[in-house]
This record gives sequence, structure tokens and C-alpha cells, in this order.
Amino acid sequence: MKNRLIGILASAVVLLSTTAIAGDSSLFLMKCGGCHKKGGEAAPVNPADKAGVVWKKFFKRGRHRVELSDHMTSDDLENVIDYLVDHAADSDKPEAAAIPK
Amino acid sequence: MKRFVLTLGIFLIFHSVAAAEQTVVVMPEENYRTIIDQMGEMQRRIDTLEGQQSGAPITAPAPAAASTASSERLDSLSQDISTIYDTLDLVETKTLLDRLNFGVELRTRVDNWKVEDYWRQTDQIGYMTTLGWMDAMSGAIQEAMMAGDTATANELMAEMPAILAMAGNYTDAQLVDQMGNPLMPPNPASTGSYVPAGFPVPRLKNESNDNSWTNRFRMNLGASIAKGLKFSGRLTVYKDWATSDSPFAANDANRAHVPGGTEIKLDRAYVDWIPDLPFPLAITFGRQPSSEGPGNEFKENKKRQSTYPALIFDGESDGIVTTLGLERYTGLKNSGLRFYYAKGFQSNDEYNVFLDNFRQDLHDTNVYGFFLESEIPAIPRSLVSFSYVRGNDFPDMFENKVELGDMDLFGLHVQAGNFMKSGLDIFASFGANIVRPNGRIYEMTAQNPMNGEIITDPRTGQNLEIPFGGLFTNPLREQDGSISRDANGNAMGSTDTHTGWAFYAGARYTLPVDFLNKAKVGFEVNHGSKYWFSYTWGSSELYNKLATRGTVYDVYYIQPFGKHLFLRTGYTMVDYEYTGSGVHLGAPMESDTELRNFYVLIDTRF
Repeated sequence: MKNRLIGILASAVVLLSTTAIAGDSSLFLMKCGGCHKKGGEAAPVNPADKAGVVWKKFFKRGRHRVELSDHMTSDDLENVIDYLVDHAADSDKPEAAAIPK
Repeated sequence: MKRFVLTLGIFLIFHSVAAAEQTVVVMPEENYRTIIDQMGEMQRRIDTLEGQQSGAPITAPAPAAASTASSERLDSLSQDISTIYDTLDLVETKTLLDRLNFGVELRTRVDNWKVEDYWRQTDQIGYMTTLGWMDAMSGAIQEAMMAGDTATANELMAEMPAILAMAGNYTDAQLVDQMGNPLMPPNPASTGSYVPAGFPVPRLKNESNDNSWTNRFRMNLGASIAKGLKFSGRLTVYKDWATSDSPFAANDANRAHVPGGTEIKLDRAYVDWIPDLPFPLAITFGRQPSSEGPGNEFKENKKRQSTYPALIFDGESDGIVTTLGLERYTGLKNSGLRFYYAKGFQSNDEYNVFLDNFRQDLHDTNVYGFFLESEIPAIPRSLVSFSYVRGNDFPDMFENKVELGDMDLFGLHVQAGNFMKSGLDIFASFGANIVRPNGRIYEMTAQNPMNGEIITDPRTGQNLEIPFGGLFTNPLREQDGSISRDANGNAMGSTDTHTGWAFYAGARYTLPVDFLNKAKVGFEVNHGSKYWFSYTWGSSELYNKLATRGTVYDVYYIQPFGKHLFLRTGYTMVDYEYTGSGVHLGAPMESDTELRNFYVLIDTRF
């Protein structure tokens, strides 16, 4: 029983340590925020500017004006697209009374 | 050049032949000769050009042809652009007219539940009604006998067996009078008030349903009206399959959250207004986003759904929230201080809503809340929230004819989504309530449990009123077993202050298995103490889980099928340690009731 418990715990630790779920804003801000900002080289970008499927098409058609492979790996780009889709105009949004900035 | 002219000639000949096949052109001979001459001239010029081509390159005509082609191309592009502009005008106009965005949710759910040692609320009412009725009858019989009105006494005594039999439907306890004489079967020797042996002693039941089906339809509405002005709303139809009965427990705080009829209910409709001020302020008015709040969203497979943590406030409410953004001053992301004002009950006349002449002595239940919340530094997708809610002048909520007291509620909630990028979502909530009863008791207008008729008190000829309960208190009794009353004849209970508490915690893990499509497993547990009570009438479950005075264990599995569809199945076990969960009337008593529920639901959103 004790060994089984240790085995379950060990499996859980392995699962936790190997899982990385995309979608955090930090990568988006780090990789895109350098240029896409007020007064930056490119206009600020809000994920809610486009619907999820439009974001996917945007990158699939290579519409980004600057070649992205120089700035991020393909995995990073995939995670950024996931973030944009997760927060796109047609995505589920949090519902609560607004907090102004 | 030669190629161009030849092509032109072939083109003209082809069209002439084609035309000749269909029609014969008749023209004056003079014109015909002119055309022939012109063609001859053209031929000569062609010959000349061909001769020149052999000597020097011919450049002049080529630019003319290219210019013609470019011009045609530009005209064509210009026409295309004009067409696109026309189309954009239509789309833009339609977009501006489409002020509302719509979304739809549809959920079908089947529950297999079993409840043991359960005291039905309808049985409780029937039980207390029949006991109160017997009490009134016995008093009237005594009065008649004292007055020597034997005929009236006999007439009333003749009604007693039926009432006693009715009482027997709601209790297994031996009913006795104050002298300990058994009332079953009717005992002519008994005197005084009919007081049950212990108070109250209901008949407990076991009930089950192996397939209880419901449908829930929601239409979500949203509009960005202007800068700093946004509307959100939700309309709901929630019903059991094949029935449209309105539930007894439905009130203004849960009408869209308990299965009822096919009518559409207004779940939420509110406007966020961020005026252009030197400081960050938002005003949210309307029917608030106040149900299924943190950390309920993990189980619901959604983003945050409410301003308030679910353990503190989970229901529909009309009110105004004023939020001061603090991020600018503190640097803490998504931080804000909120003040909330709402009414738990508004006293007005049912027939003339602007009047208040029916219950002039009854105050509104005003609810005030302060909430401080923020994202936790260095933990993305996190939330910490402190809550304080004050509710004044709680009414009885049955007939709303008496004020019972006040309550303070405190809360602390912490959660983190995808904690440390582990795929684990976690939350923990704590709540505490302090209840201050004013001693008043709600006296229920008695209705015959069998046929619903209003029962008349034989002593007064007025409607019989049965002392039911106060804020966490039962009616007090005098030594002779009669109900304690104040100088105005109002039934009285205890004024002792009570404190309750509860916690609610859970975790959800996203399985790192691609072919399962981000499937999730989750576990939740909550526990409430004897006197726990908060505003959780609008639970998304069939039962008011977070109001439980006892312990709840809840496991579930979420299987997404693409972006818009998921299935959830789960098992919930509720161990009620005290009665009255989610009800503020009456003193909690120890309970052995247990509820087990296995369910499957399928949910689509788009």
C-alpha cells in the first residue's frame, strides 16, 4: 500500500513537472510587447481585436509584416497564437463588475 | 506589331463571319467602297510597318498598347475597390446596427440521486400546521367547556380525529399532551395544549430518482455601447423535462437557477460605466453578475462568472456596484475596491407596486458589501478577495410579514488558475457569519395540508397563525407549553447571537494527454458549521451545495469535444450534520440526512 502511494505521488509529480499549458499573457507580452506598444515599432495589439479563427488565418496566411521566425521559436509562436485565440473577440470572457485601470 | 495587327484582323474577320452567319448587313455601295478603301490603306500601312520592322525596331505603338492595357487594368481595379467599398459600407452599417452580440448555452443534464433520512420542507410545514391546529382546537375546546358550551365542545372534538390523523402523516413520534397523555388514538382524557414529545419531531424519509432530466438554455448578450460603456446580459430558461411547474423554493435570487417553466427569466442585465474621471472609477448597475462566482468556474469549465466568491454570494441580485481601480496606485494587477448596494427584499404592495400601504411596518432588507480584490503578485490568473457583507432586517421570505434580525458576513477567497504552469487550478474560500436575531417569530398563515384551505382559529374566528421560526431560533414556550408572546401578542424566540463558518476548496487538473483534448478532473470539498448561512440561493447545482451545514465531497470529470461542446460527469456526497441548510428560519438541529448524486451533463456554447 505504501509503495503504491509513493508510486501515485511520483506519477503526479512527473505529470505536474512535464505539463505546460499555453495561454499565459507573459509569453505574449515578452515576445510581442517589445514592438506592439504605444510609441513602439508597431501598434498595440489586443487579442480581442479579432475572432479566434481570424487570428489563426492571420498567421497561416503569413500576414504578420515582420518575419516572426527571427523573434521566436515555432513553439513560442504556437503558444502566442493559442493565447490570442483564448482571448479573442469571440472567446469566453470573465464576467464581473468592471475594474477600471 | 505584325502579330497585333494580324490578331486584330482575324478578330474582325471572325466577328464578321460570325455575324454573317446570323444576319446579312445591307449598306449603300458608297459606304462599302469606303470601307474597302480603308482596309486597303490599312494593308498598306501594315506592309510599311513590316518593312520598317526588318530595319529598325518599332517602339512607338507598343507603349500606346501598354498604356491602354494599364488604363483598362486601373479602371478595373478602381471598379473593384469601389465595389469593395460599397460592400464595406453595407457591412459597417450592419455592424453598427447590430448593437448586441448574442451567445447561446444549452445544457442537458441527468441526475441519479438518493437522499436518506430527509425531512421534506412540505412535511415540515404540514407537521407544524397540524400541531398548531390541534393546539388551537384544544384551547377552543377548553374554553367551550369552561363556558359550559358542551355542544360547541363536542362539535370541535368531533373534528379532532381527522386533524390527528393528518398530523400522523408527518411524524412518527408519539404525540402527547402536556400531561403526557397520548393523543393517538384521540384521548378524551387529555387536556391543555397539544405539545409534541420533543420539538419538532418530523417523519424522516428516503427518496430517490434514478433519472431526473433537465434542460437549461441561456442566451448571453453583450454590447460595447461606447467608450467606457458596456452592456452584458443573460436570459435563461431552465426546466425539468416534460414539466413546467414552478418550484416552491424559487425566489428573486434564484429564479433562473432552479428548474421551472418555459418562461424566460432575466438572470443578469447590467451596464459597466467607466466615466472619464481623473481617477479610475467604474459603476455597474442593473441585475448583477453575482452568481456562479469564484471558484465555481473551474467546475463549470468557464471563465470567472461573478464579482463575488461563490461561498459568500451566489445568486441573482439587483444592485449597484461602485469599483475604484487600485492598480494605478498599488501596482497590483486587476486590483480594486468595490462597494455594493442591493436589496434582499423590497417592501411594496403586490397590487400597486409604488405603494407601501400593506406592510408599513416592514423595512426593506438592505444589503451593503465591501470587496477588495487583486491578482496575487507573480501568480498569473490568480485572485485574492476579501469580502464583508451586511444585511439588515431579514424578512421571513415566506410571506414577508415580519422582520427577524441582521447578519454580517465575512469572506476570504484565494485561487490560481494553471498554478505554476502545472495544469492545476486551485482555490480555497473561507466564510464566517454573525447572526443577530431580534427575537421575532414568523407566524405562518395556516393552510389545510390536504386541500390548501386557510384554517380559521376557532377561538377568534380569524386566520390561524402558526409560530414557525425566527432568525436561527424556534418559538420559545412558557412552562405550560404555550408559545411565549410579547405585550403585542407576537410570538417570540431567542435573541442570542450566533456565529457560523464555512470553507470551500477545490482543485482541477488538466490532463496532459492530447487525444483527450484537455480533459479535466476535479475535486471539491466544502463544510459548513451549525449556524452557517450566506447568500447562495442561486447555486448552479440542483441543491444549494455551498449552504450545507455539514460536509460535501464532489468529484467530476470534464471531457471537451472541440471548443464548443463538453461533457461533465460527477459524483457528489452531502452529509448534512444540521437541518435548515440555506434557510434562515428556525434553530438548526442535528441531522443524519445524506444526499448522494451521480450526474452526467452535456453542455454546448457558441
